[in-house]
Amino acid sequence: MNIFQKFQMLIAGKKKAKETLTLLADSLAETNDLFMRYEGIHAQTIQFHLESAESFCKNAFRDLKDDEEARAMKNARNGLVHLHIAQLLGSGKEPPKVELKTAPDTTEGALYCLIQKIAKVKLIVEYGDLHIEPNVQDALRLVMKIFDSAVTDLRNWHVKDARREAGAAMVALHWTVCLTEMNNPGQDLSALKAIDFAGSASELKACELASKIAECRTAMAEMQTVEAPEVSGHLMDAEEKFMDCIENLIDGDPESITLDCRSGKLDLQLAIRASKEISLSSGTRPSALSREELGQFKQDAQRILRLVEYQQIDCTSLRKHLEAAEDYFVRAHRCLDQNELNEAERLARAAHLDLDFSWQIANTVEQAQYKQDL
Amino acid sequence: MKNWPENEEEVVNRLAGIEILLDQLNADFQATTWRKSSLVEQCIKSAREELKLSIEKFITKETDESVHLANLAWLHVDFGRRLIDAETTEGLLGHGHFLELGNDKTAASTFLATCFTRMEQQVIKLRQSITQRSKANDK
Repeated sequence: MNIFQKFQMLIAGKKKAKETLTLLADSLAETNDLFMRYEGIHAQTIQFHLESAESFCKNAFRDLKDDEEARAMKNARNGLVHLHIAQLLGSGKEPPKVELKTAPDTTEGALYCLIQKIAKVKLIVEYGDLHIEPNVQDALRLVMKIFDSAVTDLRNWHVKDARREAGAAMVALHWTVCLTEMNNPGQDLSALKAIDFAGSASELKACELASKIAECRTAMAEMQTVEAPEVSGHLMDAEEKFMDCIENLIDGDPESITLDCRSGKLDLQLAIRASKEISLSSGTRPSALSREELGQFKQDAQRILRLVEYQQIDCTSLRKHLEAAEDYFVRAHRCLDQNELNEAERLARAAHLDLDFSWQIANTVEQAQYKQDL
Repeated sequence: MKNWPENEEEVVNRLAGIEILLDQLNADFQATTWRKSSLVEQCIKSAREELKLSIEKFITKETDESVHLANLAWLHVDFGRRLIDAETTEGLLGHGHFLELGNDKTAASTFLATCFTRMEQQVIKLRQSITQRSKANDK
């Protein structure tokens, strides 16, 4: 019979509080003696519980002295909980099974599926020695950011918000796997892409769009048309729609997700058509500023902002200067195309200055300054 | 709360069960020599906090809150365990190429520098094109 059962017997037998407290004090002394030389992995935790039990026990005796029998019994019970845990930790027995048995359609279940999947992706990427591009790392960071929000929301009993975020993180993880597969031709990661939780219709639609974008990119890379501005522009538009889907999944806006998916698929069709036309005619064509280059510039700006936001640093000023840099950069290219070289140089320098200013802000330089020598 | 026993003693047994898993995770984490993942460390810290609070809530008879926090603690422990197992496989059998999931400060600053450098290179390339075009026009 363990201490818990003995305690319950005493209460059932309506014994006096004094006897109950004596039992607790004796058990505490015995347990202290038993674990005095314990040096196992639970040493610190056992110590914490024994100290807590001792503190409650002292309070209980003081209550008894003050004729506060009910309060004494309450403190005795509290001490007992700690003492019981300490005894279980030190017993060396197999711990009781504590797996969450929540169905995948619950929030806890969805989060459980998500952590299983994240760990599986990590294991396969590491052990398979797969190549990881910055875009994959970026996508993973997004997954972890949404996952953190989901855990915080669940912690605060915002269960529905947490469920939506878990779904959005799962979709973002699906996209991460698609990107990893693109970066590692010949690797079949389809097992990681399977949606193994009860995804909502919106989540499934968004995953479908992600897969289609990846398929298109892979096919067009093989056709060597992926970098043609006519194609890459549509592909980037489709990716932007997918990112909107993630935002709308978090916000719980299924109508917008349907529209994003439809529009994203339309972008893909346009990309396919453009790709076929190029293959039939002259192949890839360079341009002064391909949409791919502009897209890269924009994507880098977005990545920087996401990373800074993730570190919970206020990025209002950074956003302002990065957006200015992007705007000057685009306008400078336009002026170059139109042979307005003085204006092009002025704008390009402005882009350079704002970019450098942003770099200083991102590196938390106290007083960022425009550099005159750029 | 789902799937938790109503009997007090069994609840305490479960809380102890989570604490046992947590201590085992912590011991394995302390023993790793190939890499100390900040994310695993965070999992241990969060689990410890949630579990401590869960026991306090159990004592004050706020059972729903206690079980809720215990579930969260278990999620943190399970995640930490999966991550450390993956890293152990890579540390012992792989090439030591770890995939960073958490908010690793060094990885983040490298990533930030890469993005800025790439953007600056594009601006420099643009300015060079403008200069070249100007020179060509002058000729």
